[in-house]
Amino acid sequence: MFENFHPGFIFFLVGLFACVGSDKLRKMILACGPFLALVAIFNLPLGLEQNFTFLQDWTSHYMYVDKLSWVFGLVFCIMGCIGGVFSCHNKSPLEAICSMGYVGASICCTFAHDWITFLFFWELMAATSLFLVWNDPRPTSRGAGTRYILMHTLSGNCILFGVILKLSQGQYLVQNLVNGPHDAAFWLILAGVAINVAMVPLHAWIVDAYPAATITGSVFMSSYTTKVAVYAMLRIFGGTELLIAAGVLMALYGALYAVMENDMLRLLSYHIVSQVGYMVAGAGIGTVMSMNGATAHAFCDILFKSLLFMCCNAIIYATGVRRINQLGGMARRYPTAFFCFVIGAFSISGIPLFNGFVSKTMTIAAAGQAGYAMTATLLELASVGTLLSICFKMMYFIFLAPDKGEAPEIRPVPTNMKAGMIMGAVCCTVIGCFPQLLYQYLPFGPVEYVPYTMPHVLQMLQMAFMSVIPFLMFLPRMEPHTALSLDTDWFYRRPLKWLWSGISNLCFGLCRSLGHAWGVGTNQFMELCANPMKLMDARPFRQKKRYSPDNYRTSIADTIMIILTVLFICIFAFRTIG
Amino acid sequence: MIDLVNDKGKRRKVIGAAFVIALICFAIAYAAGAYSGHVEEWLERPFMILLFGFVGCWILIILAKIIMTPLLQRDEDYYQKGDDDKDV
Repeated sequence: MFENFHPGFIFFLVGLFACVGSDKLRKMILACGPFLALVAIFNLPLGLEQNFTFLQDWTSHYMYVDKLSWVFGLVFCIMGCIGGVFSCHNKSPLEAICSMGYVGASICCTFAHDWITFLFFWELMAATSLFLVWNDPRPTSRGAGTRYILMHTLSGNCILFGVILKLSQGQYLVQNLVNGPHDAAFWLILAGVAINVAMVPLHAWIVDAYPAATITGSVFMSSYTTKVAVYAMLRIFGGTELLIAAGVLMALYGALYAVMENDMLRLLSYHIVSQVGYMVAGAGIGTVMSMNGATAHAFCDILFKSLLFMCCNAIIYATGVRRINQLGGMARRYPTAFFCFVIGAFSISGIPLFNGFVSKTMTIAAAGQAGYAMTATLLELASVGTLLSICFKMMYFIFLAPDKGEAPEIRPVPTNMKAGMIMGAVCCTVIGCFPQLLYQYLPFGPVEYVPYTMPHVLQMLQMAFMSVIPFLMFLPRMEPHTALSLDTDWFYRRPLKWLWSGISNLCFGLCRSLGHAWGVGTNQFMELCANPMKLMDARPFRQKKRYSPDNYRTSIADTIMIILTVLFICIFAFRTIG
Repeated sequence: MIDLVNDKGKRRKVIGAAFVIALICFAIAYAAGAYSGHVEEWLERPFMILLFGFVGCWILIILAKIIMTPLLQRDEDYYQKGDDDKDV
């Protein structure tokens, strides 16, 4: 059963059936349907290629299974199952079809083997995820969704123009472009992927849109768009040295902003930027170990980041509070979320026995082994930032600090949401304890890295315990306050908006003036048509009288004078010529 | 719940405990011979990771909370202020 069946299409079908079914049926379909895709992906043989001929001579290579696409497809299916369980209580059919369509589009994009199919599903991903933002009733979500789709349209258009150039060169299939010419097509496709991978300074859409999405929508969004872009980086741009610096910048930038942030989901969104930075740097280094490390970290990041998003969204669902400085005491009031959050926080911080430790450290070690000592040190510094903002700041101020009393009543969280969180926590712990479960699937060659050596484990613990000291020393000033951190979106939300308003006002003023001038000109023309005699006399213009023969009737003397003058001229001319 | 912000005594105790645990981890690693052989990276030398965790955390706190916060943080309704279209 489900042999050679595209797992992405299963998600499309799940979304479709969930959309048309009753509430009870939708819940069942969303919770169980994605597991069929998981079965399907385990039945996909490596090297499988499926095509679909379209428009006479164009063939869509919609599924090509190799190790890289398979491992990304696998984690997308696992996340689809967790997300399906977490979100199955939703009553909105639109959200059901969009979330499942989004997962399906991400998987289809991963398995796409030709540029056109890849681009089609890339755009479909943006379109479906947009409605996860717009489905939220808050007024800010509308603007955030608009900015989100504008950025993704820019990304899609960059790739489109790059793809057109590639097709004109006869390159039809998605492949590594690093060894080819670094022409316009290379840079356009890189720019398009860089937007989706949230490369600084093109990252602000993440922090803008993800917190604006629905409670369940942001869980899906945290897992797919950036990771599909990481997949594209690994497949198309693996070994591009420029990406090393970009990745390090992302890792540090995200960690620093996360320390400042007060909104739980914005903080986690900055950590998407930070963690994706490790993957981008790994892709840039381009060695077998770094590429495997980037893949492993993408796999683990999907699990622990979605877990953290689920925990925070469950708290928001229960309390209605999003700001860290208004929360406190949640460990006692909501122990399931606390338990799962601790696992997620330890995972993202790279604490031994949790999955971040087996993937993040591999990327850092790969940087060191490849001779990029400074890169390794800076990535390690970003790890300290992760510890600081999630493991210490979030965990203390949300769960362990005294309750601020902003949310006296807690709304019961649906069981399926708790089940989704527990599934995520189990995945993080199992991979953390048994890394070979993940390492066996890494696509770029055999994994020689051993995470669990005593010096390595103790080194991580030393760093964690020493970095808690400055946090505690600075604790009274570590509590975030209600504020908004300006980011690169300021450029298109303020100066660009002013420029746009200025140009609009200028165009409006110009149009109004032209309209006015046209109106005046038309009126005068009409008057002239009504009374052509005005051309000979200025007075009627001012008097604005319609033509009347009495106004212009000449006296008999004038007539005689004109006739005599003409006669005189004729006689004079005749005599002169004669 | 633990009020470490106002209770300075408790905070000092937690800081002391963290420091002691970090030193114990270092001692175990030292005793196990983790620092005896040739090391390729400077972070693998004795005390370096302890120092890195401590100094690195201070660097991030100073950058984020002392330098970036006053420069980059504004009121939450910063983008809505004076906007004709309040939800964009």
